[in-house]
Amino acid sequence: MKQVKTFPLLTFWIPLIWLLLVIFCAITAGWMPIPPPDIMDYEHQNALPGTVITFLDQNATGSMLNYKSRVSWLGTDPMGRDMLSRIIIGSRVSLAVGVIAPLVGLVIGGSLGMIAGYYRGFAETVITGLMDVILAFPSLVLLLAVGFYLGTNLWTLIPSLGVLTVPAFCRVSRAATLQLSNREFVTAAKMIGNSNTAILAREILPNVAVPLCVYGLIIMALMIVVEGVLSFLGLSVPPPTPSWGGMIAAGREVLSEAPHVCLVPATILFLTVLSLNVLGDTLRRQTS
Amino acid sequence: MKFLKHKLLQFFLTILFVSAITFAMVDLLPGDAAIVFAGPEASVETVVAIRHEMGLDAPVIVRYFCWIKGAARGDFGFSLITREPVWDTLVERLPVTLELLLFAQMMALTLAIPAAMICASRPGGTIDRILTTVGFASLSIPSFVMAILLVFFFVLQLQWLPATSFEPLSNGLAANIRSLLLPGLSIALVEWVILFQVLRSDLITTLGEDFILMARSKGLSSTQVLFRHALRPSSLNLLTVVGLQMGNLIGGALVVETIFALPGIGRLLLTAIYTRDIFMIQGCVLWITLGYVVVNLFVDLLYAALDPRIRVEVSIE
Repeated sequence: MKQVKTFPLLTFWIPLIWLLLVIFCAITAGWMPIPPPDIMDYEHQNALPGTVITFLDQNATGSMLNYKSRVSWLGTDPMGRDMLSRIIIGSRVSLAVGVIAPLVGLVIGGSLGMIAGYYRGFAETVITGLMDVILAFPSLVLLLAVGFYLGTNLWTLIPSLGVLTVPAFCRVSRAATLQLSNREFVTAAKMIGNSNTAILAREILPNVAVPLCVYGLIIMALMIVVEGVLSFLGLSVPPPTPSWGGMIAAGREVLSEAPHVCLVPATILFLTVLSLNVLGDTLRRQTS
Repeated sequence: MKFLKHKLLQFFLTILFVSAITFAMVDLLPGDAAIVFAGPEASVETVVAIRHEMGLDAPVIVRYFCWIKGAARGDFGFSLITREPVWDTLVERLPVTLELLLFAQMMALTLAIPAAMICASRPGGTIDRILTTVGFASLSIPSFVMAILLVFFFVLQLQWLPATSFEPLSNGLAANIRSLLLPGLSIALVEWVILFQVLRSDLITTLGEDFILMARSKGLSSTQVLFRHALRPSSLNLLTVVGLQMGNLIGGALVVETIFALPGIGRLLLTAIYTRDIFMIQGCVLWITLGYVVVNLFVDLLYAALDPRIRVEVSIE
C-alpha cells in the first residue's frame, strides 16, 4: 500500500521557504540594495535593529554636502558595520561549507557504502575498518589539528569536513544496499547477465540516492553548526570575511550593552539549522 | 572471545594510527621546532646544535620510535611558550575537563530521565508532544550559542549568578559547583535531548511487553510499573549513549571551556593553537584522542557484556 504523502505547512513549507530565502540572499547579495559589509561607521556603533542611519553620499556631485538616509533593519555591530549585509554575506560561508562538505561525503561515502554492501567479503571488511578509524577520532579536535597544520580557510576546511562526513554516509548507503541486494529486481538483473557495475549504477544507485540525500540535509545542519563553532573560535575563514560564528563571537564582547549584535546572528543560525533538521526529519519519515 | 579480539585489534590499530598522525603533525611541520625553540635571534649554529640535541636530524622512523618511547614515559616535550613540561600541564588541566563532562552528563540525565518517563507513560499526549518538540528544537542550538544565551539571561539579565571564573574543588564544593553550573548546563541543555529520545522510545517499547501487562494486572499503579519494572530493562541503550557521548562531548567542552574561561584541556588546546605551541598541541591531541578511543572501547565491551546479541552478531560476520 502506498502511503499518502502530505506536506504540512509547519514541518515542510516554512523550513523550505526559509532555506530558499537564505540561499536566494546568498546568491543575489551582489545586486541587493544593501550597504557593503565592511564599511565601518563609528558614528553608528551597535545601532539597534530598525535605526535610521544618515550618511554622507559618496557619489554626490557639486559642492553641496549630500546626506542620505537608510534604515538598518538588523542594526549595526561594534564597528558600525551593517548587520544585515554581514549576515547575508556571511551566509555564503555557511552555505558553501554546508553544501559542499556533505556533497564530498555523500559521493565518497555513498559509493564506498554501495561497494561494501553489494560485494561484501574483503571489500566490506576493508571499508568498514577504514570508517571505524575515521570515527575513532574526536572530529572537532581533528579539525583543529588539520586547520593548524594546513591553515584555516575554506579550501582546507571543506575537504576535511567532507572526509569527516564520509563514515556517516557510508553507513546509510551500506545498510540500504544490503537490503536492496536481496530484492527480486536485483536478482533478475543478475539473471539476464548484467555486469555488477551496471547493476550498481542502474538498480542500486537510484534506490540508495533518496535516503542518502535526505540524510544529507541532517549532515548539512551539522556542518553549518561545526563551521559556526570554528568561526566562533576564529579558526574558520580569516577575519575580514564575515561569518555567522564570527559575528556571534564579536557580539559576545558587547553582550551586556548591545545584546542584538550577538542574538541576531545566533537566531539566524538557529533558524537555518532548525529548518534543515525539521525538513530532513519530515522527508525521512515520508521516504522510509 | 572473537568479539574481544576483533575489538582489541581495532583498538591497537587505531592507537597506532592516532600516534602516527599526531607525531607527523609536528614532525612534518614546515620549518622545524628547533628554529622556534631557539628564538628569532639565534644563529644558524645554535639552531643546528639544538636540532641535534632534540634529535631532529635522525631519520623519520627513528624519530617516531624515540617519540613513542618518550610519550609512553610521559615525556611530551616542553611548551614553547611557558617552557614547562607538556605532561605536567596536561595532568593539571585534565581534572577540570573530566569534572565538567561528568557534571554536564549528570545534569543531562537529571533532565532526560524524568522527561522520558513522563512522555513514555502517555505517548502522543500533550506533554509528550511539547517535550519532543522542545527537545528537537534544542538539538538545533549549538552549545556555544546555548552558553551565550545562558550568560545573557542568568548573568546579565536576571543576575542570579555572578560571572565568576573557575573555582577549584579546594575552594569548597559549593563554590566549585557554582562556577561549573552554567558551563555544565550549556552542554547538558543540548545533550539531554539525545538521552531523552533514546530512553523515551525504549520505555515505550518496554511498556508494550507482556510482563508490564502482568504487573499492571497485579494491581500496581502506573508509577510503580514505570519505576520498578520498566526503567531498568529500558536503560541499556541509555547507558551506551551516555558512554559514547562522553567522547563526543569533548568538542562541546572545548568551546564551553573557552567561553567560561575554565582551565581545562580543551581551552589548553585552543590557546596552544592560537600561540602555535606545537608540542602542547601534540600532547593535547594525543591525550584527547586516546581518551576518546579508550572510552569507546570500554563502552563497546560493556555493551557486549550486557547484551549477548552483540557478541553473536560480530562472530557471525
